[in-house]
Amino acid sequence: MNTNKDFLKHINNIYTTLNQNESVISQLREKNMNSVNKYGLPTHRKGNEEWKYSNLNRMTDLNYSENKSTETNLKNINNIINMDDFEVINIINGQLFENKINNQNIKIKNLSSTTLTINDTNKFNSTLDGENEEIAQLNTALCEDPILIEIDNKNSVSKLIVNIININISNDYIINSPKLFIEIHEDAEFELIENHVGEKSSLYTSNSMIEILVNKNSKLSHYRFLEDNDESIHLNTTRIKLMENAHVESNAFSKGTKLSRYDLKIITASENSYSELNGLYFTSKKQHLDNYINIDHIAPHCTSRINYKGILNDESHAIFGGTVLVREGAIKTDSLQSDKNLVLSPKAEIDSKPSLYIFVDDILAGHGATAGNIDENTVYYMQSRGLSLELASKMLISGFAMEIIDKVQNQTLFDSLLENYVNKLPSYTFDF
Amino acid sequence: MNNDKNVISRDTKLEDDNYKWGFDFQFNADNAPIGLSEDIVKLISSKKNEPEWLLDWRLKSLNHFFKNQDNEPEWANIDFPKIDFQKIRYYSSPTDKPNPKSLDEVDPEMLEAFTKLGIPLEEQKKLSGVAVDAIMDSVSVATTYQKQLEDAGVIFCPISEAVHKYPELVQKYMGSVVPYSDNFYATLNSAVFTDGSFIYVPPGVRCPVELMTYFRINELDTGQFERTLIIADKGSYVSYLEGCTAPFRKNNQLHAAVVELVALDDAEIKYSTLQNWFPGDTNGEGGVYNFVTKRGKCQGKNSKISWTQVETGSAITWKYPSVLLQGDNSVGEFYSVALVNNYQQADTGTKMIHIGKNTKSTIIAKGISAGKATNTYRGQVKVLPTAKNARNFTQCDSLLIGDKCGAHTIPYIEVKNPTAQLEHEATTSKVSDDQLFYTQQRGISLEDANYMIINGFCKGIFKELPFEFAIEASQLLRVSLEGTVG
Amino acid sequence: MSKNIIEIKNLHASVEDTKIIKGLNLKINVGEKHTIMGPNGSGKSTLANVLAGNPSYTVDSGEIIFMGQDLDEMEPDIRACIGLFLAFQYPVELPGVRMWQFLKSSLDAKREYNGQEPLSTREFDNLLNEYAEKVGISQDFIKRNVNEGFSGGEKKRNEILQLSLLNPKLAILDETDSGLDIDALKVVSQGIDSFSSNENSVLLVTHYQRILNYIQPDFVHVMMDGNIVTSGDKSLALELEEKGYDWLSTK
Repeated sequence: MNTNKDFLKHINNIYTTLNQNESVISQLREKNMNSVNKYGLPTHRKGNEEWKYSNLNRMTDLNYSENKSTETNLKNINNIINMDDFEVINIINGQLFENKINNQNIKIKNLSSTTLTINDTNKFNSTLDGENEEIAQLNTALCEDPILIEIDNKNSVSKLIVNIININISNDYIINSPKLFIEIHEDAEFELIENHVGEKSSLYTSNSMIEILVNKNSKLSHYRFLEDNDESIHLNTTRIKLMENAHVESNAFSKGTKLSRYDLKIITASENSYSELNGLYFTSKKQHLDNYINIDHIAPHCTSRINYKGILNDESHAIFGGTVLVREGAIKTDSLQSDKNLVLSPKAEIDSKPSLYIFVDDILAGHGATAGNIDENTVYYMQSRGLSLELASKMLISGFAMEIIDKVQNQTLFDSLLENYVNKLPSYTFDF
Repeated sequence: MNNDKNVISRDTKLEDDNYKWGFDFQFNADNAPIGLSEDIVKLISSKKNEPEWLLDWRLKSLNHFFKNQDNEPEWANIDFPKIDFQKIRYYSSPTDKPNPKSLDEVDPEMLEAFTKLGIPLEEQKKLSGVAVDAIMDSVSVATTYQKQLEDAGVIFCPISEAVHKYPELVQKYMGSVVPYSDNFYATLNSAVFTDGSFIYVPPGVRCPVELMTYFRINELDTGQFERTLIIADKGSYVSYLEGCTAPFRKNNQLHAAVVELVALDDAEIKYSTLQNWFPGDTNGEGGVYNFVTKRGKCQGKNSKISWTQVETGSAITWKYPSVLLQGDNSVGEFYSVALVNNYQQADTGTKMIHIGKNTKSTIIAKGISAGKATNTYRGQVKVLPTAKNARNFTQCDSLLIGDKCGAHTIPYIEVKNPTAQLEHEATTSKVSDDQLFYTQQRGISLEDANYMIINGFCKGIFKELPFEFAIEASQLLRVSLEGTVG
Repeated sequence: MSKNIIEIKNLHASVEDTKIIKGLNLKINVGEKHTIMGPNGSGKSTLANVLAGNPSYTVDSGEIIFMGQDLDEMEPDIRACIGLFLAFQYPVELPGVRMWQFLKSSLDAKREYNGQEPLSTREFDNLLNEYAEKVGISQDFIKRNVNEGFSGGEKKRNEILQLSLLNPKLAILDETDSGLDIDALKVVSQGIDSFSSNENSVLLVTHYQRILNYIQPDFVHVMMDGNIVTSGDKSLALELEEKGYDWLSTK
């Protein structure tokens, strides 16, 4: 068994190997490595409300190897999305591997191709300071190949799949730190499909970070698929900054892994933005999944909606945490936050903590959370129409999931979800 | 129409003299030296002529406190300078005769003082249908209605007296709900607690009157550490009220009480609090730090514990009246109105821990924030694997008055049993301009309209209070809201 | 011909240890329409739910023979498949479950149980459209989630739509008329009327005589305190309307 200290020593070694050469990113890595060494990793000891229900020991206890394989055979990747309708880039173990983009409106710059400049990164990184960004700092300290994607497509829609792929043939874990900056220029519209996958038997920790700047009058449709394998550790930090009239719809579909945490924060930097964050999580076996979904309302007249749902089976543990913060001055904010959970197994555990922090009076805010099983009366109603217990429960569970899947506007993705998600949801045997 | 007229003011002006309970009574007090030590604990214990086991328990607690004194809880959403526990006086008795045997022995000045507070203790004036135990600083000064209670077999006396008269009950239940090691402030209380109420309701007895304790902190620099223990034996019922005030002081006063309730099979305890400790002045100076551990255990099947609280006082409140739902079919309830104004900070809520089968809990919390105050609702609903068919419904509503205050809602929903059904709802808003305008248009002043709407917002909670308390609560709300609009 | 469709013999049933039905007997033949009336709390709805197999209710003793089979311990879905239908007093909302999906699955389940092929999508759509139009349910409703956001009247129409579609042997209507305005009441009554034939039977549970202006029952039973206290023809209902239930309890 390894300790937190061993883990920190290991990442310092990786950092030293990685950051030998001066580059646009080396100072950024250095600064963040210093922060990691200063603050350490988040602990779940009493008092750390942000990590109350997740213990990073599941990550730090593992044996890590410093050598990453160069294996790039993708045949053992289980892919649930039909890629044909989209532009695609593949990032393997943190490095941009394939860029198949034909669309002129999507511009990619990266470190390896030395097109990335310090100016490009300067407009991001606003969120990495301070004590509560340890995981983001860890990503930045170890990022292999930061990538900038710019969308400039007045009056047309660009659709891009970013496959974040993890492969490892060694018997020890590797740590990958993919990093993306995305800028959507004014009046643009962008569909981003972020697809986290891993080779079936690979052992890895994927700690990715995505920062998105949504400029004035632009729209982002964000789809996130967490399909990393059962043994993986998945950490992701996503920061989306919204400028005037920006519109974001984010749909996250997550399956659990050994330990996964999705840390999303929306920052309403300017007036009149709209954000809708939908999520569906499904955990089984001994998986642990932590959703940490936050909205920081800074500017007035912004609307936000959070709508997450969880289905928990077996001995899994899921968490919904999150904060809607309405700061002084953010008048006329309209915010609703909801988390609903279906607990199907006597050994599953859900911890839901949807918090509201309100510092101004002229707003509307509300939240709701539920946890429970399928209602007995509902099942009886369906049975009285001739449906078997199993079919009734299956319909109710997929009905529960459909509320989120219905929000998906993209037909290809919708179809993929119906085929690969809904049909694989469990049915439930009742003891009533 | 200019809507600005209806805009609710930024800075509230609550004058000091609005706190009408701010009298300072001059008594010949018997004060222990300031500071915390083994000697002080021994002194308190010897003043009360306590048995050996209790002194041992106190010393064990003190030991635990010293060992953990750097672990003061930090997770709450409150901000205050570090308390120097060596600068507090842990014992103050307002008279040379700490335990009066009857009202005749009570200092007439003291009776007058309580009359001034609206709590007459003399037999001819006493509140009808309410037995009162009055506690000034750390000592119980009088208990009314003793005869009726004796006839019913109900024990209602200061805990210091119960230690001598009913040692087996006290020893059996004290610390059984809140162990001395439970949390920082409870540990401190266990070491230095001075007095408080003890209630025992025998099997099958419905307590004939409401029982009430009136708490008051009077002495300067005195911490108040009462300890209340209520035991409702099988099939019994008791309704208990506590009222709390403290005089206007420029310094902060510490109040760290522990309340333990035990309900056996089919028993019901209703516990109501009207808390109006001095909240500090408009600049945020002074006021009581209220760090209280209140917990009830539904130990028996079909038992019920209900907490109702209306709180407008204290500079800082840190308090989570909780229920351990251990018996099958037991019920826990929490109804709360918390109003904060000026620089008050409250981090309060409840915990419902579902352990037994078919246990139910209901939480209705209303928070009102004005001035530069912050109000945090923090509520945990935990369903353990054994709690088959547990049910919870939680509703938290917050009202904000002005744009310098804060209202926060932090639920913790923790479920380990798939047969549980939990529902949490919360809203945050202000009194709408439309509501105020509509009411004003019917000829009601802005201030009255505001009070009327906020009173309506709290009504569901007030109705849970015994009638006389409900009226008092409503008046308290009015006084506390003065100056928040206009 | 007089073949009985359901026979209830000396039925005792309870909810959470409270006895509600106390020794009730009732026989319904093919082609008959029966009405059970009674004051609140008399056990009418309990009877309807016990027949449909609601797991919250316990049969303590007695027998229910439906289509020659003993219903004891039979799952509610099997009862539905062999031809027993209950229109709920409070139809349940099914979030995320589409009407179309729900109705098709129900009909498929019944057909499968009876050894029939499921209908093709087209056949089903045709059938559905036909019935939906009859009860005044628009295409929009078919696309929505079952009962979610439906008004009281819409929910009851939806029950009648399901009745027509599933075409049971015995339709039990549990206070389907309560809370309806006069137009909805007409639609619902017509639905019941057009369903009813000499091949099936209806058991209408109601508190009010009002619906009997539209549906002509062959028998009227009055239930009080868990049992049928008197039976008669339609004139009994009119008498009740006039005199109220108190008249019976003092009789």
